Amino acid sequence: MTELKQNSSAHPRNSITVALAGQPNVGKSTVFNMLTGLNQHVGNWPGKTVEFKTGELVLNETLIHLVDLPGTYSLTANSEEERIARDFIIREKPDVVIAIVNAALLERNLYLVAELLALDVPIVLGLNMIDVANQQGLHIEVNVLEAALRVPVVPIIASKNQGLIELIEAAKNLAESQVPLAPNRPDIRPEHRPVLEEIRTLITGQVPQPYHEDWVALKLLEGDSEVMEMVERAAPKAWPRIQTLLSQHEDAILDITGGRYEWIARMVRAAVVRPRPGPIVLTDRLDRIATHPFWGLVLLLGILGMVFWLTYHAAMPIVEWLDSAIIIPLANVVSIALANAPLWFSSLVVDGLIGGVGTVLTFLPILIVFFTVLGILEDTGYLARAAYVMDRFMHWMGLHGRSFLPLFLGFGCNIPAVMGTRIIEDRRARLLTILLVPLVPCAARLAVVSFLTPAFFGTGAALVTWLLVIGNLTLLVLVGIAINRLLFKGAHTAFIMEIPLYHVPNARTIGLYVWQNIFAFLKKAGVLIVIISTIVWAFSWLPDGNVNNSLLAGLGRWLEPLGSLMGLNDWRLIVALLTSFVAKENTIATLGVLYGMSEQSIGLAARVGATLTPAAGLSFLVVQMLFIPCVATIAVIKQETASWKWTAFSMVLLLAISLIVGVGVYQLAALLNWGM
Amino acid sequence: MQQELKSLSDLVSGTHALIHHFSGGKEFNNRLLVLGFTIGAEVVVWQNLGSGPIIVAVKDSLVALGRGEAKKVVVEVLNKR
Ligand SMILES: Nc1nc2c(ncn2[C@@H]2O[C@H](COP(=O)(O)OP(=O)(O)OP(=O)(O)O)[C@@H](O)[C@H]2O)c(=O)[nH]1
Ligand SMILES: [Mg+2]
Repeated sequence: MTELKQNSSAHPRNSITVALAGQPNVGKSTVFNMLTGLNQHVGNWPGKTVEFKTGELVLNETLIHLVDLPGTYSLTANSEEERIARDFIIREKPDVVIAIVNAALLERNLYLVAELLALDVPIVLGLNMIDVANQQGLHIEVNVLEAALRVPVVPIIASKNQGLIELIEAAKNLAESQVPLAPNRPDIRPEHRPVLEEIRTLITGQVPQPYHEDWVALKLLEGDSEVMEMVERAAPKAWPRIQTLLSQHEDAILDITGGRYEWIARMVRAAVVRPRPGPIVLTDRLDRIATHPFWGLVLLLGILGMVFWLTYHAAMPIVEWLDSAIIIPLANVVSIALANAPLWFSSLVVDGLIGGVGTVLTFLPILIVFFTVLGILEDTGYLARAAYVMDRFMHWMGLHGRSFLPLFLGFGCNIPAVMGTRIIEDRRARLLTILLVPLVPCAARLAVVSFLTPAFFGTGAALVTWLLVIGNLTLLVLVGIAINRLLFKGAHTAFIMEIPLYHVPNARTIGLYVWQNIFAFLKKAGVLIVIISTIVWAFSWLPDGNVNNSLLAGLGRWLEPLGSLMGLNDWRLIVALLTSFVAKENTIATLGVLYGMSEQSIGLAARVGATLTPAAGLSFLVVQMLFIPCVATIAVIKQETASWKWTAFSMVLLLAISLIVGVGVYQLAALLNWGM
Repeated sequence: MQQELKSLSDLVSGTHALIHHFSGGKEFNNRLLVLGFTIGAEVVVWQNLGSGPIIVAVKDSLVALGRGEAKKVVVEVLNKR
């Protein structure tokens, strides 16, 4: 009986490392999550995993370090995440590589396998998405494929947890077996064999560890720029000759890739039974709308609108109920219970903790709605269509459709969005995308805005929120155009992106996605927001317990001249904006602390709303939507741009934009005499 | 059979064609080759609306190409659906 455990508490006797490799979007992270119980990002679009991640499981007393790699079409280093996957396999030398392929896309997916075989690592083939293949009438003879490739092949359905134990067992057996593997490998066509042989001779003994000379020679002939640089450094004497050979055989790549695909065709010919080639009906029909330049855009904006409609009709009533039926009574009960405690203590608990953290927790329903919709959009395969439709607009900024994918992730959280820009090959385009990410309002900002908007605009709230988001995105495009024109001089890179088939969304995947994000939110509320609320409370208490004489009031009043340009004549609002720098949710936490909790009967939003005119409210919301990104996002921007200069640029840019637009909105309203 | 060479971007939706050659840079060619756009491979234009990006079916998968990119793929036209 096979025993599988998802942690290493069981004193295993030995340990092995198994890497999950495969082309993008074949289900590697799904396999990883099922086997390790961890929670890697899963969705139906290529390029979600951009870093490798290790998890552990114990199988029959063997500790297995399982590594989820980013998806790669080939082993040529075209982009950051391809470099990561390739370097891991070559340098870390996992005991076994499990190559995951999508059974419905077998030939294309085997291309990577053809390349992996040249690396001389033990391989197990995980034939995933058998269910999708069957739906299309494809049938794959596992034994025949196994016999042709001479590597173990295990059929699996990762999203239903079928065949995964067999898969990992096959990997373990392969790692432990003494019999040397003799997989079938693609051969290079005869006309290029002599030149390959000559290059191979030229580099003999000069290739740095752990690279194989055969592989390096092949990659040189393929024109891999990273390998070329490596050899130029390692073998400077032989380099001029190699360079001449390579320039004489520049077209070798056509032959090598063509040869690999021919080899694949031979491998699968006997193994795949297909009814007849035909278009995939569901995908075809849905795409008449989803990828249409006009209707596709209408659909995208409609989906965005629907999110806010749902927020206000499903989530906001619960939020308001939580705020007025739980948080306020709780504050009142606690302040009575603490009547005999020192005044500062009861104020800390009631105003600081319940007012700050408690109010933020009422966001939960809003976030659940957001993340459920985001999860469904990702898991169906719609996202790649949206990227395709947006390609035209992205061109205005010197970007292309691919940049839309990380930008879209920004709606959930800006941090994975900045990381996600790794799928953009071009450095300049990637940098521009990173700079634009903070203009996408994240779930935390949207939740703050959703929470406050009804108090300012009543039934118009959904429309106002939708317009605010459109406003942010319009600004994103304008800023993108400006940066591209002024700083990057309008360069442009190639748009090549796979469009996945539509999948019926998987409830488990979406549930995990929502839970993971909600869990992160709860953790943040439990640590960061508790700390900030306490600090805000302390500075609003010191020196004498009267909030109007407090240090914080001093700071806020000092900034009031700036605030009054935006109609924010109340220092508490300015402080609330400032604390959003630490985490966007803090805006509400701070308002909760500063607007006092005890002896209240109406919810926080209504209390804030009562102090502001609609025009001032609008400018407050605008600034909140555009303000400097939170500290965590800034840290990731620094990490990914590896430049303080660009990080500082990003902060100054957003600070300037938010203030200019905030003042502009208020002054325009004043001019038009609207909402004053 | 008479051979008609055209850019992929000039084909209407539903056209079948064979890849003939590329007129782009090395890295560009490489990325397309890997996706199955090998010389002689059959492709079907899935969506081409005359402007903006196009979608092409190759080796059972769908690939979106920017218009500029599609211009650089020269194909031999087979037939119309
Ligand atoms: N129908 C079906 N869907 C699956 C199966 N395995 C995975 N999926 C779905 O396929 C999509 C891609 O899965 P991921 O695990 O994110 O793929 P990945 O290989 O990690 O992708 P990247 O990280 O982008 O390279 C998700 O929508 C999964 O829910 C399967 O066996 N059957
Ligand atoms: Mg993944």
